[in-house]
Amino acid sequence: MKFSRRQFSFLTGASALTLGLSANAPAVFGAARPNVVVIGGGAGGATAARYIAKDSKGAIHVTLIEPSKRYYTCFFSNLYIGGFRDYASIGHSYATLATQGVNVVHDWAVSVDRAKKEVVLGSGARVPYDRLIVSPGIDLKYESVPGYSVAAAGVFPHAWKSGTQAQLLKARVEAMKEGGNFVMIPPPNPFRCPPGPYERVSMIAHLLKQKNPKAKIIVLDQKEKFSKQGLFQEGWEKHYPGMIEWHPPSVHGGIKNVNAQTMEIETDLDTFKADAGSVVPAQMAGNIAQVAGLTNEKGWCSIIPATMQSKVDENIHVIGDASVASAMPKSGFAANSQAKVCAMAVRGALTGAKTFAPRFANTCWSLIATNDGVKVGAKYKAGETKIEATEKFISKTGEKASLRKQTYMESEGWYAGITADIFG
Amino acid sequence: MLDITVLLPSYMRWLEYWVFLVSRTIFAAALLIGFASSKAVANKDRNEEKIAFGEYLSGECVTCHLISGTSKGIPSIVGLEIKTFVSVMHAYKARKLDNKVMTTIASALSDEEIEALAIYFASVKPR
Repeated sequence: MKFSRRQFSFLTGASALTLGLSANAPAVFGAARPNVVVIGGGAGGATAARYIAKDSKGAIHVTLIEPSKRYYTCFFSNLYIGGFRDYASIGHSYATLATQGVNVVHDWAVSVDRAKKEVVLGSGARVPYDRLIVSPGIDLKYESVPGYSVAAAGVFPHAWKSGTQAQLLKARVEAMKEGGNFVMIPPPNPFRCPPGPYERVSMIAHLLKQKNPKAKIIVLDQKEKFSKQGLFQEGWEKHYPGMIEWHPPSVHGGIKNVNAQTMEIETDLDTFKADAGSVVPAQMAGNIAQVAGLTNEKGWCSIIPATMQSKVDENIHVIGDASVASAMPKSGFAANSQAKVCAMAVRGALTGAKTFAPRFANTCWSLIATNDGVKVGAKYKAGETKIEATEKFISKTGEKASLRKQTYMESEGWYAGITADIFG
Repeated sequence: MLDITVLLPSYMRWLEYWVFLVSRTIFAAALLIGFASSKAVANKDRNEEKIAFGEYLSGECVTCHLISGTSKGIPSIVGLEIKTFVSVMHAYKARKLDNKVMTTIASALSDEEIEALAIYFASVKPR
């Protein structure tokens, strides 16, 4: 067995030794077992890893790189904030994936050597791939809101990646003084979970209505309109009359400064004093996608719809929030749907597995108040250059309470279904 | 903190199914006859091919319907009789049942795809 310089570099660490040998074993023994590496263990990445391992029945070696040992879903974190779920119920382990043939590695992917087809980990180990699936979700452009920063997120949590930020946000709402102001700054388009900021406003209103009914919620939006606007505004009027003020930029004139020390948020219209707040800045594809050179000028990854392959590297697929999925929103449901299309394309390319026409779908449920659920969704097809919607639906204003309750129950069922589909 | 009424809707959804099924017996029977005759000519390989196709298509269903066969807010479709599955899906496709997620999904499925899904889900054992 002769080692090239690259292969020799594997031998410098014990864990790297295993990787080096397994990567080279097929060439040595003539039993090709292609390597798929997945970066990111969320709704996109974990689904892709699980489906490739499951459907290839061991013919493909699948490695999932994910720093967190427990994953707290962003979807339904608003229901935790509103008190409809406990924190533990939105956390998921990778143990089942690990026992279902996915090599789960808890580390950060810090760069991608596209020429050598290797992922470099925070520990320094290098993981070779035949196909790489990049599903890093989003990162935040903190500086897009004047005065906002990583440090200020400790005062005004963005809570846009779930986890401790969601816990902090809930704690700060609960600690608000009687009759205080909660200020919410939703992000500009495009961003993860279009109805999310408004479901968050609803859930915080639900919490305050019980514990602090004189409190006010001021929404300083960075957009003139938002997802499910008619449904949310109808629900706010019905369940939380007089509690929520929503101001678009044409009213407040733009966010001039967020001051985490004085808790003041300055706009053209007025300076708002917050007793608690949440600032969700502009977003971009997760950092590893930028580092790997997969992003366009706007910070997102262009893809070929039918396979979710990156337009800049045919050996790399990008799925979920980081991708430019055109008509599909950035949602956990969409990422899970794209992951299955991607998994099939990867199996087809690496093992000649039979492939079928790609199918995409999405539904986003939101909870406005107890038993008042609404939804929006669509079916999509892979067009030549874009993913295109073929049929859409949305809940209607004035629906019967029984239907709204059924929609909420359906969302609970969906959460159980999708988390089982993602994490096994 | 879950409300006890969580239990109600899946029951109500089932009620919706069964009320529908009873009222459409003739429609279901016609489909059954059609299916039975096609099944008679299908050999084992063809059936396995349909299961494989159905399994691929099922990726879209198991985002919401638990593959374990547990029902929570969304009815289980695992181990469902083929004729039941087919008639319910055609009812969604024809918008005789009106859940918007299901009418949207069903409208994008051909008769062959619905059949493949029915055969696949009938073959899965609830865990």
